[in-house]
Amino acid sequence: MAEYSATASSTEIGANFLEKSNSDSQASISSEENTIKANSKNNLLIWRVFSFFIVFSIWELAGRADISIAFPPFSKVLVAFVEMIFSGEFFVAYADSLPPLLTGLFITIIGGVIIGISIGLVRSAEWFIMPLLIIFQTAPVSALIPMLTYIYGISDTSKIVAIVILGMPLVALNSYKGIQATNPSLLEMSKSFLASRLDTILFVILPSAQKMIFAGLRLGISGAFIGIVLAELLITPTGIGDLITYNRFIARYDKMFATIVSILAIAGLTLSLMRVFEDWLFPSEKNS
Amino acid sequence: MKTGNDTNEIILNTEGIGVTYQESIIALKNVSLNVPAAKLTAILGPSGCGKTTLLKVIAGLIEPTAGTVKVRGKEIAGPGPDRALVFQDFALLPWATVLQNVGFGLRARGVSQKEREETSLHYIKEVGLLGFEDKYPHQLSGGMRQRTGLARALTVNSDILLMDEPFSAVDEQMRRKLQEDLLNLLKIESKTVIFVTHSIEEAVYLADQVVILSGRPGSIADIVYPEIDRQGEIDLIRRQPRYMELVDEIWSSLKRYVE
Repeated sequence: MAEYSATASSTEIGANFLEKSNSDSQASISSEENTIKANSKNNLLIWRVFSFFIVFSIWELAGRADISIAFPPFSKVLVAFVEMIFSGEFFVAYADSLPPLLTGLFITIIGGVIIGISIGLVRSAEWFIMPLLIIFQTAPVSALIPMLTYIYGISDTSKIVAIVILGMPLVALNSYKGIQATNPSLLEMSKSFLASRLDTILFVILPSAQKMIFAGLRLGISGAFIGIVLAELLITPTGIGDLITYNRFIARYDKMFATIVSILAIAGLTLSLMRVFEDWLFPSEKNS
Repeated sequence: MKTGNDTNEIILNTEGIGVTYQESIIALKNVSLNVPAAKLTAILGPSGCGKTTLLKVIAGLIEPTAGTVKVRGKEIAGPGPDRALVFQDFALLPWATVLQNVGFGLRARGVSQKEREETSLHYIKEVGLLGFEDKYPHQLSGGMRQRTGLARALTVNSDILLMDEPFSAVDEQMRRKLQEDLLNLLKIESKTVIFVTHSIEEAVYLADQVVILSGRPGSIADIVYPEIDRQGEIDLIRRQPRYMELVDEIWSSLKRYVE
């Protein structure tokens, strides 16, 4: 037995040696770099997973500490989460919530960027739209949401309007600030090299505003998710808002938290997709 | 006056330029100036005397409240293809490579990508940046950034090169190197250069004509013609007695404007 394992290990060493001599010195530097890159990427992933692990552990402990029955441990919420996927509860709720959410997001993103860019570029548009945007940004807009019911009734339109008024000002204001922050020296350069207004916008102003615009988009997307949840909690008892409210009434707190976790996960996923989209659209930033 | 080789040909002149900001702040007053073709003209003055303002008026970026700028006798209306600018802060697009930055002026003129890259590479080579064409500005030193700015100004093939304190943002050794390289470059490229500087040494070293501006409001205090022999070794310029005399002379006339 001992002999057998000894021979096995010796052949293993032999194999390793062969492999090493095969991978020639020419590739050794680049492969080393690759392993370092891969390692740091793996490390990053480990830390991310670890951070979730810590939060969920604390949640689990706090839940088991029996503070309140309204705060179940993470494990119970996880079970409820899986249960709700298979029972179709999520499916039904999201079938209600996703169409207005996606419509609202679309309007928020496209409208916000267009409004922000135009007020950044056109002086009269700035005077016309800015005051409204600032009011929407600073006022407690959620207080306006019940009022939407009087105007649009219990409908998808109310939800979409709620999403748009919570998300769009953030997108528009950040896009506007990005445009305004263009280095005046670059504008002068563009003018002196006889670039047309369109060329200046395309090659100088928009690339320079890109980071602020995408920061605004991320804030706006978060705002849009707040909008849909608020609308469904306050106005129309449908979709995920209803799922949260209903489970609270029947004291199924595990299911209530599972619903909240699901919406957080979707919001997080949407924001990550935005990142990927930004990297895909502006790859040069990554190389630097 | 007729032939291009005539040393006295005036390619650009200003007539009674005045710039007043907000009704009351006078930046420039009655500046009339003749710029000979294929020569270096330095605009020298204490800080805040309006020398950059004057250059921007000539570039067509600032509209003067009085007077006109004429190129070959024709009054300018804003920036034109006959003038190209080099900026004090380089004004490079941070998200674009050296090649893309150098080609900016050509792109704005609607030149095809292939031609743009060919021309850009030619001038990138000429300013000594070959091999750096795919780098981004933040990967370059100050001197290399200004070389990029210079190459960009050269690609558009303007007769007049306007330089706004081009070497003030780089360190002393790099400044000397860039000055020498500029003189060498101008032996190949026949350009009229107008450059703004606050350095007396730089003005005397580089320029055929030094225009001295007085303090605020800026007006022409004196014009000096160094007449230094630049045909021979560039290294020897600073050792000529004429060079040292001039530096002293200009300093004594400039001193009273410096607080």
